[in-house]
Amino acid sequence: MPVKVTDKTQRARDAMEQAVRAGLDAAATELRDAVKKRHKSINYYRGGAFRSTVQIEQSITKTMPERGPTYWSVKVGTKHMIALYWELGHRNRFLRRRVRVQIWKPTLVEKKQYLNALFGRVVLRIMQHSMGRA
Amino acid sequence: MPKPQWVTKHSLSTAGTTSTVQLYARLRRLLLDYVGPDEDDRLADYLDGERVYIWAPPEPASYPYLTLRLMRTGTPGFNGYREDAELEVQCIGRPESQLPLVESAMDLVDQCLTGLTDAAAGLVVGRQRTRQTVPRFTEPADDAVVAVQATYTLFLWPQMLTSRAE
Repeated sequence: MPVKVTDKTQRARDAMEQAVRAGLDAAATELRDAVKKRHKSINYYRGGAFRSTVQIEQSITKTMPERGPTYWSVKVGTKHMIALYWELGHRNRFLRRRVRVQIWKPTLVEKKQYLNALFGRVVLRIMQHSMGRA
Repeated sequence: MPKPQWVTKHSLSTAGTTSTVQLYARLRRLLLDYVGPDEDDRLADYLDGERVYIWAPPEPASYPYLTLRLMRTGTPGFNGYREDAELEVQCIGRPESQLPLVESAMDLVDQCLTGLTDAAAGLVVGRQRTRQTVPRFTEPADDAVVAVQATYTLFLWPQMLTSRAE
């Protein structure tokens, strides 16, 4: 009985690339939204009448997934350096003391497991769809 | 209801792992007691005393100083006995000329925490770290402040969790 063998290696590679891109993009979108949400509820200046985090919140973006030599990466961030000052802490000239309000890192730690699971779900779904399994 | 057994007035001076406060005290003590490969190379010499603080220094701060911040990043499993944690260590100096001092102090911290296996009370293991010199800030931050930040991945079997198995 003749057996027909089809090489699907290239198809699997393409599908995997597409799946990883989509998975990273989904995870980055989720993280970006979570960081934005936290910026809405926290103010850098305690008791300040104005919302000091609004400007930062509007500038939070994510990049498209990029392929490195041995890895894939995606970035979530802002162009405003002031966010880094508050995240790491700084000695504020106006308040005359060291101040720190962490927003980014706690959000990432809190979401880490969920993001891992989300990435896995997206990759699995796309691979199943591309390789012909429902 | 009685108070928790392990939270005591002198928790910070009783280094152990029976509470988070004691865990901080244990890590602080490990750093201060560590002697580098060069004899008499101790953190206290760089920090001009035992200026290692939990979370933030008292104001007004004397420079340079070190801050510790522990963040639990636990993963499920291990019957709840093991914790994964990230210990963030910041060494802050002022003015800018303290940068070599700050970097050297962090070298000692690196030596201590990347090869850490402390089984004196519970078990604390540290092997990995990321480290970066913080870029120079501008207004509203004080631009004379220099800092190095490192994050150490720790694996903990603290007595506060494992003692319930005894």
